[in-house]
Order: sequence, then C-alpha cells, then structure tokens
Amino acid sequence: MTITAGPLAEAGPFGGTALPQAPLDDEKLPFRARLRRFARPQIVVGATVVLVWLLVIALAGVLAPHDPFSSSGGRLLPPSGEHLFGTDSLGRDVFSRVLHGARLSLPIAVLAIVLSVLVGSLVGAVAGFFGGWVDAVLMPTADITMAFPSILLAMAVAAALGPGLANAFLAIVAVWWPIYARLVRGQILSIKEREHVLAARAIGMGRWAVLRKHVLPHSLTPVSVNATMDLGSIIILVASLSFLGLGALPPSPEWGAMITDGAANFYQWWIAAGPGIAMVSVVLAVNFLGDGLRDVFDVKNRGR
Amino acid sequence: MTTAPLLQVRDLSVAFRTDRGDVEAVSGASLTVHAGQTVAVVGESGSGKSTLTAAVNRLLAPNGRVTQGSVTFDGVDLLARSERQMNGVRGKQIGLVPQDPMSNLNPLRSVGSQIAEVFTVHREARVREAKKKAVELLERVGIADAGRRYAQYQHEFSGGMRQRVLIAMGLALRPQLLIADEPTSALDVTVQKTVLDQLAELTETMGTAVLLVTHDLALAAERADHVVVMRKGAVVEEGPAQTVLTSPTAEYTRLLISAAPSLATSSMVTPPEGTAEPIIEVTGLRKEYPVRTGALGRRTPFTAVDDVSFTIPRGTTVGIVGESGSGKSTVAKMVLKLAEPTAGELAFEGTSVTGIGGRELFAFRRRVQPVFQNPYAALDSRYTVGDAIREPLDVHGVGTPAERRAKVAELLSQVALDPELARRYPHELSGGQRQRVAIARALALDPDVVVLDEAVSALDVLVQAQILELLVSLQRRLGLSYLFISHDLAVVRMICHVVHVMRAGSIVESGSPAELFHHPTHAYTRALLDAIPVGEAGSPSVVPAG
Repeated sequence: MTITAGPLAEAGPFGGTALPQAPLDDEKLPFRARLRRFARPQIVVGATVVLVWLLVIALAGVLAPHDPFSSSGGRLLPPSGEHLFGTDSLGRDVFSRVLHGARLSLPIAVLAIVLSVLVGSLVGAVAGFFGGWVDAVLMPTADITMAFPSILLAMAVAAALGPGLANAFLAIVAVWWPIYARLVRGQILSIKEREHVLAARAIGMGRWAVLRKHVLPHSLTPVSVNATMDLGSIIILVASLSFLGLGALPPSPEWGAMITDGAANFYQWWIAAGPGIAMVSVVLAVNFLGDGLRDVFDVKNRGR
Repeated sequence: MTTAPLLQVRDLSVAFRTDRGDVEAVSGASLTVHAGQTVAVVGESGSGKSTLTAAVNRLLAPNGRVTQGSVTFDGVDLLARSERQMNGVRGKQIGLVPQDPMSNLNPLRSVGSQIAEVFTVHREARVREAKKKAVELLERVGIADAGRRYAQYQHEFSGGMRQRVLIAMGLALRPQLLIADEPTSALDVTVQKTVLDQLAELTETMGTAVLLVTHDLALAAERADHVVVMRKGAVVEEGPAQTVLTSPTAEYTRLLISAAPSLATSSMVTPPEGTAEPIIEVTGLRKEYPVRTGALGRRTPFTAVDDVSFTIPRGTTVGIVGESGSGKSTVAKMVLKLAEPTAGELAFEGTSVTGIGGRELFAFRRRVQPVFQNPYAALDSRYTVGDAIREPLDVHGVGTPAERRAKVAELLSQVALDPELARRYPHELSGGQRQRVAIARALALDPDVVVLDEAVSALDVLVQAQILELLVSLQRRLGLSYLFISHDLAVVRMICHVVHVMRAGSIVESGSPAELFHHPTHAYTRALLDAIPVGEAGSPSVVPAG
C-alpha cells in the first residue's frame, strides 16, 4: 500500500480505505483460528466432562440400570458389576440414583447462578451507573450480605423458608447475588467513563438506554467467566444444604441428600462415595473450564 | 568518524508470533550510533521504531523474536548474550528512558529509592551511598529541594518531573548509550522543551550517546545529529539531521515533512466575508469541582474554568489552545451541555440554553455534536460502523429505516469512506478511518455546531493532515461552525479563524491566528510558541512545504 496523493490533497473518493490497516482484533479471525484459541487442555477436559454430564441429564432414564426409587436386590451390597456403586440401606442402586440425581443437583445449581447473575448484575449496574444515593443504599446491602459466611446465611434463609429444593435454591440466590453486584459495579464504574458513553449521551440518548446499550454489555465477559467458576461452589452449597436436611427431602436422589444417607452407614463407604465422586468430577470440570475461559479472554495472556 | 561505532544494528528483522501467524514488525533495518552521538529514529505508529530499539537491549515482548541480523554494542554481539549477561548491560551500559512517565514508576515506593535501586542492583554502591548519589542525580536533572523530594511518591510529582526522574534513572550509571523512547510525547509542549534541554545538557557532559525514538520529525531534527526514518519496519531514509530535513530523498520523508503542521504552514481556511451572527455565545462561564483535600477530606472547590467568554460566529472555526489542566476540555463539555456550568451563560442562536433539560435539551443535542480525541474509545466496540452512525437517527426518530440506511451510506461517502465499511467493526479500521466514522456520526443529525475536542491529536501526522482537510471541506460545503480544542498551536493555526489561549482556567489572549502567532502579547503565548520544535534551534521554520 503506498500513499500516492499529496497529504493535503483531498483523499480520493474513498481515500479512507487507503489508510494503513489497523491490526485486526480476534473477533475477525477465521473461525478455525478462533476455535484454536480455545484448544487448551483445561478447556477440552472440562468441556468433555460437562458434556458427559449433560448427556446423563438428558438420558438418565435410559442409562440407569435400575429404578432409583425402589429396591433392586439386597441391601447394602458393595460395588459389583451389577451395582457399580453398590446399593444403599433400602437396597436401591446407588449408581442409578447418582445418574438421576444429576437431574436435580445440576439444573438447580445452574438456575441459582443464572438468577444470582441477573439480580447481582442489575443491582451492581444501577448502583455503579447512577451512583449517589442509589449506590449508597444498594451497595451496603450487598456488603452486609457478603459479610456473613455464605453457608450460615443460606442455612438461616432455608430454615426460615422451610426445607425443600426450591427453598434451598432461593437461599442460595439470596447469598450469592452480592458477588456479582460487586463485580459488575466495579466494571461499570470504569466503563461509564469511556468516551463512547459520553458520545452516546451527546446524541441525546436517555440514561437507561445508555446503560443498556453501551455500558452493561461491556461488563458481561468477566461476569460469565466468574459464573462458570462459581458453579462448582454452588453445586457444593446445594449439596451442603441437603446434607444438613435443609434442601432436597428423602427419597429424592439429590447428591447432598444421598451423602447424608451414606453418613448414617459409615462402614458402607460406597453409598456416600458414589455421589461424592460425581460431585468432584463436575466441580473440577467447571473449574477447569472457568480457568481456561479466563485465560482465553484475558488480554494479558494473548500470544502465549 | 574513524573509530568503531558504539552501536551497530545490521539487517535486523523482528517478528511477533500471533494467532494469525508471524507478523514482521522490523524487516532488515540497520543503524549506527557513534559514541556521544544523538541518533533519532522517526516514524509513525506501527513503523517498528519502538520494536527496533526494544530489540537492542533485548526487551521485546515474550512473543517477539529476532529472525535475522545482528546487534553489536561496544564490540560485543548482544544477541548472543545470555539473559543474565544482558542484565549487566541494561542500566549499566545501555540506559533506558521509557515512554510513559505515568506508568513507569512504582507508586508504592518513594521516587528516590527507585533511583537508588539502580546503584544497588548493579552493586555500584551500598544503600547509604546510593541514596546520596540519587539525591545528587535528582539535583542534576533539575529537581529543586532534592533531599526532601527523595522521599516523596510519584503522585506528588508532575508529569514533567516524573520524566526527569526516569531520565535520572536512565543516566544513573553513566551508560555509554541511552535509549529514549518517545520521552516527551506525553508532556505539554513547554514542559517537553525543558525536559529535552535537560536531557541534552546531561548527555553532553557525560558523553552519552542517545538513541531517540520519536514520531515528531521536527523534534528529531532539532535534537539529533543523525536521523533514521522508518516506515513499516524498514529504514526508508537516513542521514545527517539537517540534510534529511532540508533535502529529503525518500518520497515518504517528503510527505512527512509537508504534512507536519508547523508555524510556517499556511492557513487552510479563508476568513469569512462580512460578519456572521454568533451561533454560540458564552459569557462568564465558570466551573468548580469539589475536591477533597487534607487528612480530613474537607471539600474545597477547585475552579477548572473561570470567567470564560467567547462567541462562535456561524460558519467559522474558533480554536481554544492550552496545555493539560488549562480547562479547555471542560469548556468543550459545557458547550456540549455534558457538564453544567457553576456560573455563566451559554446561548445558542441568541437564546439562552443554560439549565435547560428534557425536550429542549434533546432538541439542542441535534444541533451541537461532538467529536472526541480518541478514535479508539469514542466508538462502542460492539457496534458496527453502520449501527454507530445510524444510532443518532434512531434516537431522534429521523426518517424511515430505509431512509436511515441511505443516510448512513451518504454520510460515509461524505467523510470519504467506502459505504461498504458500514458492516465492519471499529477494531477493523485504522485510527484515521475511525475518526472519519466519528465525524460521520456527529454529522448524522445535520448539526450546526461540531465541538472537536483534540479530535486530531491521537492521529499520525499524515492522517491528521487528511482529517484536517476533510474538516475544512465539510465546513465549506455544509456551513458548519467548529469549536476546535487542541494543545497543538500549529494545528490550530492551520484551521481556525479565531484562537483563544487558555491557561489555568482563563483565557489569557485572543485573536486571529495571524496576529496571535506573529505578535503575541501575553508571556504565556510566547512561551508556548517558543517551545514548539522547529527543526533546528534558531531556524524559523521547518521547510517550505512541497
């Protein structure tokens, strides 16, 4: 590319295109190159395990060798070819219950994260963008909530609402939203100072429209990465509430409730080990995924 | 000179590994620096000038590597040295003054201790002695009361003083070579002059050779013995400073010289016939910001703008020049009604618009539009060019969707861009293209007034010249009035009908560019004019354009 016209001459009809090309950003990369950026061991392993669990959720009825709710042979049988994770005190197949339990534990955790993100982002965005008294009211509320140990607060809320998986879900949202409120508020505070926000106001756009169109979308990448990483903690929190008798009620095959059941039969370790292994695999997988995604989206890691 | 050169870069190529494969940033560049000599590397952004110098002391980014060529310093091949051996060279034999004084000092440690560290790292002195030497150095770079200043932190230093501290660090061990990468680009023009004077004096007494990286050809010619012009990673021309400046051989150098605005460049605008009625009238404008001061955080008002009055006659360009902190951008924000004045009046077409809101403000926004400094930040990265330009039309409900699309295409060709670009995203465009998009967006609502806040400052000189030309032709065609805010007197001179010089919140002098720049009456205006690099100290102008 050469500059041929005199610099002060009118730059041709479409002279702008003759200007030096700025380096392309990643969004314009060919699809394959973009895909290659995600080809990190953490992401591949994490995504594979998550995919397997999604299949389990979809096909639990087909995959489970036995009925999760009724006895399928002897009580307290150790793991064998017939019963991969053994049987529990009522003779139910633990492996089948773990597969069916995935249908409870995982969707609840995902829903809890989604609702926490929605509530937290809204609160954080409004507090950060409008500032003033809105900020002065909303953020201390978030801070006070965060000051309690999450399990204690979740227990208190669940106890007040009464046991049951739906109430455990609400308890978790009540505990978790402030994390995203803080995160989003911090993002918004810096984004709202960018010039394109000023430019949007200068064309006469209303403040809500500016927030919705030009501020909030820019804060969503770190939120989605954080949400992925938090999913593991939420799965454990759901199980903890069930373990404490505040979540899923028997005979539900929710993983935490199953671990409680296993705790009563200490010498039949397989009853707790089955759901425990399932939980560890999911939590590790989503943490791998979250770490990997963070590395991909973190500009500072580019080119390594 | 018959002695062996101090630094010899031969046929050097540097490539960066990226997702799109290797990108060559420097291709086959050579340069020579003799002892005690100042050599300037000049080029636009992306020319590879910083990469070249980073390769010399082996401080390339982790994804960069030298693909061919050699770097010989003081008879030693630097590329063959181990990282550990390089640590002995950096700082001790090759000093570095980095570009940005705002981010290159550690905010958590006292400024003095960071200079003293240079001595202790290289085991040149023990802690106590290092401190003494650091204080001496602070004095030598012209920082008064150095003993007390030693213990202060970077936020207590101005930009110019921080840059002096970085110079002190670079020169601490009396290196044979000092690499200064755009050492004054972030500084105001008057500060730039004193800092460069100081640097020249110190390196001369120490006999230090300087490799000066800059985008400013006039500055290079004024400060260097030898100039190397780079473009797209290759050296296009080199030679003694005055020869390059007065009789350049490369076409590109000629373009650079003629595009660079200087006080000798002729005005691009013709004075308006007769007297136009004022479209914007500003009287006694004042803006105070509350600032927390002292340990108790008591709020005391800080006056950013104080009693500023001016008018913008229809169809003309009114310039406001001033250094950072002069309040010029605050004036722009108040004229745009993005900030409310504490006191004073703003009238548009003879009607006061002070304190209006709601529907009146919405209507006002249609008539007065901004173009901001940073073409990278002023466009939302998530919107296509077409969406960004159409947005004002959507907000104001102008026309049908089809009409809006047609208008976007029309606006793009008005700013000399291919309408096909409407589907692209801002990051796919060059800086100049982005600024054209920002101008197209500002013109979408057919405004009467466009406020240009440092609108060409972030652009390379060739692109800057094109944008200025575009602005002038748009004014002629559409009868626009401009409020042109800039720190660059030479640019203001080229494009403005009337200029106001601002300092510390007030207008200190006003007049036509011709009066103001040939017969400045205020001492500050004179200081500003004196500080502009003109090619060679004493010579009145760069060269006649052409």
